[in-house]
Amino acid sequence: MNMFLSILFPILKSLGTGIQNDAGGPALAVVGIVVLLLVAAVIIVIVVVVVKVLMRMRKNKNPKDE
Amino acid sequence: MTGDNIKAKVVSANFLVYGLAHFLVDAACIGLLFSLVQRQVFSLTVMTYLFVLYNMLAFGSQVIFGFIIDTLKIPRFAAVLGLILTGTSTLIFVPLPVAGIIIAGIGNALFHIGGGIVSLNLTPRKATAPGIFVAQGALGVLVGTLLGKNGNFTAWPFLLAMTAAGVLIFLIPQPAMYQKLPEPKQKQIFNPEYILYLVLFVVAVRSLVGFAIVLPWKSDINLLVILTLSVALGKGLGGWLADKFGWKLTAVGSLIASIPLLTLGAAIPACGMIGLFLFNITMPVTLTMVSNLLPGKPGTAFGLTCAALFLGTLPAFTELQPTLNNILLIDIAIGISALALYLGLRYYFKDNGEKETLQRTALKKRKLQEEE
Repeated sequence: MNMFLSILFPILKSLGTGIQNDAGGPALAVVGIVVLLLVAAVIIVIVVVVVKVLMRMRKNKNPKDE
Repeated sequence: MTGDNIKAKVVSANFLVYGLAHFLVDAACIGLLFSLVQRQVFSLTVMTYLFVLYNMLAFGSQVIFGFIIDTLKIPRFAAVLGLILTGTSTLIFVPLPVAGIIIAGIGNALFHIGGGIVSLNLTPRKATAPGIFVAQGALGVLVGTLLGKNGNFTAWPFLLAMTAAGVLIFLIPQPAMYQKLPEPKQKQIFNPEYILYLVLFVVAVRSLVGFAIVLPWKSDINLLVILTLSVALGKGLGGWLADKFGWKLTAVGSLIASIPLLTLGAAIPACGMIGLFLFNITMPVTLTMVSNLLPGKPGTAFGLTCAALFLGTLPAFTELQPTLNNILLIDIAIGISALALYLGLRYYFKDNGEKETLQRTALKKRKLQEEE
C-alpha cells in the first residue's frame, strides 16, 4: 500500500499540462488526480463507445464479415 | 491538359492551402495560450487547468466532432468554421481569456477534422497526404510558442492570413470525398476492433515518449528550430516513404532504428534530431491505418488518433516526468510500441488482403521484365 501511495502521490500532488520548461520538465503544475483521471476516463469511454458503434455499423453494412 | 495533370493541381492546391491554414491555426492557438502565460493573467494553477481544458477541447473532442462531420459530410465547412473560431479567439482572448481559450480549442478541433478529412482523401488509402498535412502543425506550434513566450503575439497578421486561407479553401477544387472505393477483400482473421486498439495504443505511446524525452540542448533556439524541422520532416516524409517502401518496413523499421539514436539524443543533438525524425515517421501510417479500418469515417478516424495522442500526453506532465525521462523506460516503451505496430500492421494487411507497396512494385517489375 505504501509503495502504491508513493507512486500515486506525485501524480496526486501535481499535473502540469502542456507547458514545458527549456529542460523539458513541467514548468506549470497542480491539477488534481481526480481531474486527470476524470479527463482520461471520459476520453477512453468516448473512444471505446465510438469504436464499438462504428464496428457495429461496419458489420451491419457487411453481414458476411461475421 | 491530362486528367493526371488536373489531379496533381488539385492535390498541390489543397496541400498548399490546408498546409498554410494548419500552420496558422496551430500557431494562433499556441501563441494565444503562451501569451496569457507570459502576461500572467491567471495564477499558474488556474492557467494549468485552462491548458487541460484547451487540450481536451482541441484533441479530446475531435472524436465527437469527427463523427458529426462524417455524418453530415461537411469537412470543408468545418475547416472554415474552425478558421473563423480560431480567428475570433485571437481577437477576444485579451478581454475574455477563458472564452478565448474555449473558442480556440473548438476552432482548432474543427479545423483539424475538416483539414484531416480532405488530406485523407487527397491520396486515398495512402499515407502521403495525411503526413504532409500534419507536418505543418509542428511548425505552427514552434512559431506560436516563440511568439507567445516572447510576448510578440498579435492577432491581426493571423486574422488576415486566416481570412485569406478561408476564402481560398472555398475557391480551390476539393478532392472527391466520401466516395465508395472498392474495399479490399475482407478475410477477417483478426477482429478489426482489436487492430484499431493496437494502433491507438501505438499512437498513445508515441505521444507519451515524445513528451517524456528530455533534450537539454533544446534551450538553444537554433537547435530547437532544427529539431522541430526534423519532427515535421519525419511526419511529412513518413507517409511518402511508407507508401514507397512499404508500411511495415518503414514504420516498424524506423521506430526500431530510433531507439539507439534517441538513447544518445540527450548528449548528441544530431542523434536526437535524426532519432525524432525516424520516431515520427510512424504518424501518417497509424493515421491512415485507422482511417482505412473505418471506411467512410475519416473524420472520426482522425479524431480517434487525436484522442489517443491526448491520453498519451497526460502522464508526461505529472511529477512523474523525471521518472518517465529514463532512457531505459523510453527504449522499452518504443520497443513495445514497435511490436504493437508490427502486429497491428501484420493483421491489418492479412484482414484487408492488401499487399504492401514494395511487394506490389516488385511484382510489377518482375512482370515487366518477363514481358520484355
